[in-house]
Amino acid sequence: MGELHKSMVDHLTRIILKPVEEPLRCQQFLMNDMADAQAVRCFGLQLQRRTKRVALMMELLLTKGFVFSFQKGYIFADSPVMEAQEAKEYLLENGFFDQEFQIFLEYGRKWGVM
Amino acid sequence: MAGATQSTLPWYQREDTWAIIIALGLVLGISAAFFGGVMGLFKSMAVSIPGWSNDVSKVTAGFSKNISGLFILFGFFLMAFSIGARVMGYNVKHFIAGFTVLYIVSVFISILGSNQFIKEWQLETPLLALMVGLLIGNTVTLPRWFQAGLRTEYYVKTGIVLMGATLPFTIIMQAGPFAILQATIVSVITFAVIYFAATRLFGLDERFAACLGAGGSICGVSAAIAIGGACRAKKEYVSVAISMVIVWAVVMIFILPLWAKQLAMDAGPAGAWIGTSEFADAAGFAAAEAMGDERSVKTFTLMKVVGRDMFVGVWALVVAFLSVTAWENKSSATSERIDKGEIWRRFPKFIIGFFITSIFITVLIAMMEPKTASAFSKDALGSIKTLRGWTFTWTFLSIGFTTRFRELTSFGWKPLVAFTIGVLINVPLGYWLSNVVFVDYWLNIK
Repeated sequence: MGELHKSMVDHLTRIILKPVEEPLRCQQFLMNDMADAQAVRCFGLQLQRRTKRVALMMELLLTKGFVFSFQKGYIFADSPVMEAQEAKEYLLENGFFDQEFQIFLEYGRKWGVM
Repeated sequence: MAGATQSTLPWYQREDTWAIIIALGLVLGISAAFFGGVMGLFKSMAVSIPGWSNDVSKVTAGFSKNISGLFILFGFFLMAFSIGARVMGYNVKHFIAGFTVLYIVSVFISILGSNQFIKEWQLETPLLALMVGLLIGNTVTLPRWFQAGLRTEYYVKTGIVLMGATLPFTIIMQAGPFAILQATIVSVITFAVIYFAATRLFGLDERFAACLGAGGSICGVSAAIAIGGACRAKKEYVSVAISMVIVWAVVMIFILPLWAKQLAMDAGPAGAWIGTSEFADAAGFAAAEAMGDERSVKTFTLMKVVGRDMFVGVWALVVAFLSVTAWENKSSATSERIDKGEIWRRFPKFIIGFFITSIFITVLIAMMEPKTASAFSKDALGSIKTLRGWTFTWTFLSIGFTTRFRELTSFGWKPLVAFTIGVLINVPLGYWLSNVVFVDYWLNIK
């Protein structure tokens, strides 16, 4: 199909990244009245690991022309060019897992489409 | 639903928001004017063209009595649509010029459509508007400034919200469950037929099949777009599905009312059939209006808006889940997470306006004395119905002017046959359900 086809839609591919995942596996230090140094350290490591992964994804997506914004605790990586499934495969090929991101794809009618 | 990123835009820049603001504003304004005893302005702008045969003087006499009404009608909608257009970021100068020409054409089409001779040829105003638009749009290159005024979705959504005012909420509550049941039966069967024909018979991609199935069963172009987004279908798949919907929707605008009349169907079941078997809202309203009976428009709206459009978000969630699990051979534990917010994001928001106007008018009438209620129905609702008719005429003209067959996405025979198999199941099934199984319910809608 490809080039023969006139596209009747515009699109926005949005990769949603959450720097702080929930539930936190080491969050008991927040819940207990007793402070637990080991839990705090574990939380820090988890956070470090997660933010490093998110930053890596952002660097990869940047090379594909994605632009970033931050809203309500989420990082949105947006592209009106790269298709959603292509972006997903790109992230998986680069060692990321399905559950590390969410994809939202929105199509919109081009002018004149009923 | 124009533009690429409606759900990422702030609420005040969305087309649905402006359709609700304009239509709800009109309903509130007319209701207030009725109670204030100052209906004159609204009565004047609710211009209806008198029927005529050979004597044009009947039309000119009608106009000479209320020539200012045509200007007030134009002025009001030009102002309301232009404010919305400005906030939404359209080119306002072009929009004003385009809408002005569209309005002038709509007046001429409405005069022609009121001619007895043309009516005898089954060419009611909607079909006439569509035909004229198609003829001009497919033979002449329209200037860009005129194109800016052709906003099918903007006009049809405004019309649907106005439609809510003339459809009592009690009827929606009574007939809604049957509409939902009938729509679910047809949608599930048609979707499954197209999906399995596309994947099993023709070996097409699952995501492509889902777009085709959604377009043919749920709510046309809007569904192809919503489901295509939910399952991350390629752009070309969505474009092909849209092309299929447009081709079949235009065919059905002419065929369904004609068949319904030839089969001597009552207006109620005929509207329900059109609501079940037409593919797009705007096209469906054209077909339902072409029946020339308000009951068809009501049952069509119940079937299409309440029964089908409302559930596109639920379909999107289901298909999104299937796409990341079954179609990628992953379990739900390892697959990408699907946000339940998908239902709300894909929900067509103008439907909220449709319900609000319906509930508002129903409650208002329930609080009135019978005599006042009767006067309100005649004066206020009569004016709303006439104004709704104008928004639909602009819709039908816009469909005609913007549907350019040479600009549709080219498609192979496989998706065409898969989609057509769905049509061949959907149309007779819709007829059977509307005219046999649920006929009593549709006949009761007055």
